[in-house]
Amino acid sequence: MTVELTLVLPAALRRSDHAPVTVRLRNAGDQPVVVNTRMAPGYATSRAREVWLEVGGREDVSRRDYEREHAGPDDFAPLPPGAVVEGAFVLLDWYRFAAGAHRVIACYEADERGAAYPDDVLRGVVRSPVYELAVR
Amino acid sequence: MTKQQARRAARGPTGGPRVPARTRDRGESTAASLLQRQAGNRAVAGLVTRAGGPAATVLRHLRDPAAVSRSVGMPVVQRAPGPLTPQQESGAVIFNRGRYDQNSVRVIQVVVGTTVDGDFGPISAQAVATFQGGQGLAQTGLVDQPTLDAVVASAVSTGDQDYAIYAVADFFDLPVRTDTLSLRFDPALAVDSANRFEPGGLRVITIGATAMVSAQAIGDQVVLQFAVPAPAAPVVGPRPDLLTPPQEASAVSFDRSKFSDPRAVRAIQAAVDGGADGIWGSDTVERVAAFQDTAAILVDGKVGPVTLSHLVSQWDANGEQDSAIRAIVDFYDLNEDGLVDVSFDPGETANASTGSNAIPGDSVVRIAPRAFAQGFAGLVHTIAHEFEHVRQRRVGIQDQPLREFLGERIEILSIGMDEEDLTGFMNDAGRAIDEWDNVPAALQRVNFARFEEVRSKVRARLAAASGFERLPHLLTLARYEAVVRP
Repeated sequence: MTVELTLVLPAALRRSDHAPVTVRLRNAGDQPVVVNTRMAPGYATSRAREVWLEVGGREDVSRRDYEREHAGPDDFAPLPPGAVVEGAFVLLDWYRFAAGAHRVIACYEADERGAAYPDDVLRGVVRSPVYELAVR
Repeated sequence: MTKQQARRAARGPTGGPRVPARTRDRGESTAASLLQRQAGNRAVAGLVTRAGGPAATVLRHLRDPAAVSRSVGMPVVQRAPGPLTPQQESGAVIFNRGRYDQNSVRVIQVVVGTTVDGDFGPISAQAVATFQGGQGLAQTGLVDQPTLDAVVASAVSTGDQDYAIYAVADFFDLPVRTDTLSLRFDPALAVDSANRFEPGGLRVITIGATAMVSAQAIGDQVVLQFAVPAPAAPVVGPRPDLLTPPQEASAVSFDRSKFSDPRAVRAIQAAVDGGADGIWGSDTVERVAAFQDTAAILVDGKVGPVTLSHLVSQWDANGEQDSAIRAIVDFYDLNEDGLVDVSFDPGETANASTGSNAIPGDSVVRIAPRAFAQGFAGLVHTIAHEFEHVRQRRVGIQDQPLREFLGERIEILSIGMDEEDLTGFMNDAGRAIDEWDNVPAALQRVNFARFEEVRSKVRARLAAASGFERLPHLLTLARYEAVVRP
């Protein structure tokens, strides 16, 4: 199973911008992959999330508490070869940045503990390449 | 008298307007603030800003803080290092305490880079003066309009628009809790501001990015929206006659004890087709009775949990969720200290969220459609959970797993609230044990009594369930039983 995770974000961002960023998961293999399609944002150490960011080597720069149910059976689906599933969230609603240059990695996990995932789900944490983000 | 009744009694006359949180929670603990309280906020502020006026005594006190101490028997306010003279420092403390509540003070303290405690004292005054110097403003320590403009610009630059709006409304003393359910920033708004009405003439005001340029611009937009007249109220039908006079009196007394926020009362009055004046009376309880009659529930004119759940369903179905949130907050007497805004957010993907860490002690709560989809008990639990986060932020609980565990604990213990069904309860219990496992050992030790409360409740709830109902949850119960004090 080969999947690619990419993060679509502006090269530069004002800290006043409440603009959405997109996390995109693509099946780069030749077989379907069962994934969690919810793509809900959170933090490395929080629950009931599929997507989070690592910023500048720190895993968790949280700025909000949230309450969400764990992913249920309806959230899981096979992703055909070449197909993409994506989710968007308002970056600055979830993460705080000081002004300056940041290295950002998106992370995705389909089989979080507590989620009602099927046995053949994609396992483990998938990481994106490192992205440079300039914050003004 | 219960604790809740005692707290309500302390607020003022039963059924009268609740003193807004932003005036109740002003940090005032020194002689200077006592003087300010005696003289009146605006009067003292005017004296300070105009450096003149009739209250010579007040000015003498400003020039001689020790005189304040002598006159009211309090210790002298200690000076802090910085560019202000003692007189300027005292004046700044008085001015800013009169102008701003604790939530706004915390915003200012963050922006000017001083200790964030919500109490505007000498150190804050000197920090404001230093900030003013950096901004090219006169170093007075007074967070006047030019200084507030700089505070707003700074807060906006870091994405903290909701907090800037709150401070501006506070500065201009805009009555945002009179008939406004929510005042918030909307980054997607293409105009300067917008107004949506829920029944009872209750406003939901949003401010767009283009208005976030100065305190005056923000204030002007709020005032502009206040000037938009509410839609004409429907014609009120004849008063029903379902209750006896003693029943009416009993219902009025009950409802007054449960709903003291005029906004909640107006929302209820509008929902039961009454005149929305925000005051409980026999006409309103008769209309509540008629609503109950139609809903085929106990007809007594009292808005208890059952009637409230029917009202919430109606509000939700009509897209009037902010009225539902306000009524729940009022009925369950959820503590709003530290709350900057609570509102319904159709774009929120979680059940609800509370932010931010940017302004320690201040919180914005967003309630999502998923929270309403849980049904009444689940919605109440979710709102109570988020208000627990408001409390945690106010008292400075930093650890995220602990915060979530304590939020789930509120739902599991369900004190004063209807309990969720077993599935909902065990969902909470599952999240709580997940979070507890991630709480650092030192914090687990400190909070172990709270864990024991939760564990006892989980045991009791499962013990009361049938074997068939209990079966899917035995693994979760085993996880609870395996926990030992670290």
